[in-house]
Amino acid sequence: MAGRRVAIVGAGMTKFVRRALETGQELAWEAASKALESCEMTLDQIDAVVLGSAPDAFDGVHMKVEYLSPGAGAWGKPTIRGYVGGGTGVFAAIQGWYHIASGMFDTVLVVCEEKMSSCHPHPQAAFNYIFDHTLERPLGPNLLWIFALEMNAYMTKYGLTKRDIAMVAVKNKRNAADHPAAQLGDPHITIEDVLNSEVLAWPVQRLDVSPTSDGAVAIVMAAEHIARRVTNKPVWVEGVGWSLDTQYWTNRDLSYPTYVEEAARKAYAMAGIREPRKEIHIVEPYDPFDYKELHHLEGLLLADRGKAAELIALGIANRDGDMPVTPSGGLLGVGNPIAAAGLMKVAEIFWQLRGEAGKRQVPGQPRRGLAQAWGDLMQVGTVIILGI
Amino acid sequence: MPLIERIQHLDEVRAWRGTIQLEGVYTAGVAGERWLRGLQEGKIYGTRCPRCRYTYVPARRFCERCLGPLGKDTWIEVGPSGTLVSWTRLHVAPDGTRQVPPRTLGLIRLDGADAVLVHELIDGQEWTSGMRVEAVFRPPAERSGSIRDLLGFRPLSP
Amino acid sequence: MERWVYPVTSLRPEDVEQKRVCTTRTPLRGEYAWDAGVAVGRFLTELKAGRLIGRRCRACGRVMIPPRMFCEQCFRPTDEWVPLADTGTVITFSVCTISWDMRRLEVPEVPAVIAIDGASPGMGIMHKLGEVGRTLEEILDRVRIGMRVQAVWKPAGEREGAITDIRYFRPLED
Ligand SMILES: [Zn+2]
Ligand SMILES: [Zn+2]
Repeated sequence: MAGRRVAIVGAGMTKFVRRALETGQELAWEAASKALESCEMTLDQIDAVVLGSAPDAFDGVHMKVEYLSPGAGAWGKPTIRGYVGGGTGVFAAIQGWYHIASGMFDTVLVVCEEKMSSCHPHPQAAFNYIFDHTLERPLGPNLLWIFALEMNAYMTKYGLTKRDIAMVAVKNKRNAADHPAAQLGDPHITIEDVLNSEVLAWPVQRLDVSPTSDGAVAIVMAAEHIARRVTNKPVWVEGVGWSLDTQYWTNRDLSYPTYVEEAARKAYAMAGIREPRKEIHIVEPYDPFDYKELHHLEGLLLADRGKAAELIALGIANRDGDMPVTPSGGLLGVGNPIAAAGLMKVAEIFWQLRGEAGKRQVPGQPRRGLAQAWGDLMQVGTVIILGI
Repeated sequence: MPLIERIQHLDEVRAWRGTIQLEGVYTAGVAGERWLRGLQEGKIYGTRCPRCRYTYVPARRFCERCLGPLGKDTWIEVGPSGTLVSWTRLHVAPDGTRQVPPRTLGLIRLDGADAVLVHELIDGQEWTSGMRVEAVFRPPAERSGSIRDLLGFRPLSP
Repeated sequence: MERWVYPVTSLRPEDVEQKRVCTTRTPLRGEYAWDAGVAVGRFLTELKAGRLIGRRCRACGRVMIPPRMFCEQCFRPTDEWVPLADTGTVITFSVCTISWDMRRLEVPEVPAVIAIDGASPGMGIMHKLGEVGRTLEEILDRVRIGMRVQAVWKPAGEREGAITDIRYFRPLED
């Protein structure tokens, strides 16, 4: 494995809500101070800070990370912002890893925040500016187009139905009912609820989509000699990988996330994993839309192409199944403050592997988990593998 | 193999025009909400970190130096008078036009505070760093819980 | 882990609308003039003339649309302009019933990715489909992935060198 061993030793988060009174800075502080408290560390024991946040346009604050930095404990410390759109949350943890693996720092506080409610008339509007300004924006696109186009390409190629895909939304929103930070947990939601929800951009309906949210998540990462001193349950970073596809999204095969596969292969190689379907016990794939969870399971090589829906249908992906998928409740259920949602997935694996996930605890003492995020113009894959 | 094909005619140079239309609706936050309500009542508050012995104005919910919480017991009233730390006169408006008459902005360290506050300087002619100034509030009926509930700072009447 | 979750102060829309909490509103209005650049500049000029063109990279053989002056795979300059047809195949489509600011649309829009004839397989552009119905049901009945389509151009006098010089693509009867 490359570099020094690195562990996650603490994690904290805010509740995810549609609109928080707290400022972005205050959200960052709530998560950061909880993470430090969870491992009984103080700010003076932190060497460096990694901040993750998605487009500045959501918070409506340019140089957002500089703005957030006081709440993230960055005062007077080496600080960096990683930014790969929706992939940021997992990427921030990867950055924390290489800060320490390189030998440069012993301890890093990783904080991800998003306050989407500031953006009016709707946070959706901030996404208009990801489209090509000359060739696409004059057509009046919105963000849902791109997801709907990808979802239709995926469904059509493999002959999947809306019902196959709606099962993901049901599973995740039910799982989220057990998450104390969840915005949209619902233990009683049914497939019919999803199929009967308002059509936004066919095939995407209201309940296929994660909400917009305010929230923050933080983790504390440490080099081995510190980690063993701080906790008797360090959760080790075993593999990381990330990859970017072309920005020319209309030139890509929209039915398969090649970039996720590339990122996953790097992470598996680093972790020495040859048979991911046997060696990964829990998965937190990125699920801003229900079909994306399936798409990403396939890109992660955890399901054959076009077959991920079977894992859901057969209950394999349930919390008590052979390979629990998104036991947290994911973006669909816990909520989607973009960068914070990705780091929430990393924190979920941390809590699950330590046996601290409470009502969401996956049985059978899982020893290895994977969190993945995805973003930019649907082109980046970020993967982290954690183990005990 | 030139990467750039020479553009022969200037009328072939194209730009696509567009506007980014968003509106930010910002909450003041837990500390900010309380701080603005204070201004509405004609009071300026700070929060003092007992560990770092530093008083923040505007008041904050946490100390960025030690990341400790700044709870209700750390709120103290500061000012309304203070010392002008630095100032500038603006002759150009944000859109690039002339600012007539010019505006004057100052950095004010309110009595009892460590952090400085930026605001308008009003009712004065000559400003010098180190001079004493005092806060001027809008009439109570015009206040709305905004930084503009403070009209600005004027020279402290002797 | 419940101990490590901070209970945020959640607001309802009316808390903001009825000014129960202090908020500041600031428009973020920026006006831009984005240079079309070399490749897209030429592409726009051709659109005004009612034509689609692509760029070929001789190293990988790809004919690319949207055109670019460099090949991002071979990382070298592309070599030549290639005239393309104004017909193509629907790679994927959606039926969008809401606007960018989440208001309902009277008549849904049908965004699509269309692979353009003459470009390499899978090379598409984003545009809209038209003449395919006015309701979700009608549109889903008429449109399918793999459907052949053709550009419907604005009259020559109304074209301005923009992607919207193509009004939309309509089903091609063959
Ligand atoms: Zn302090
Ligand atoms: Zn090439």
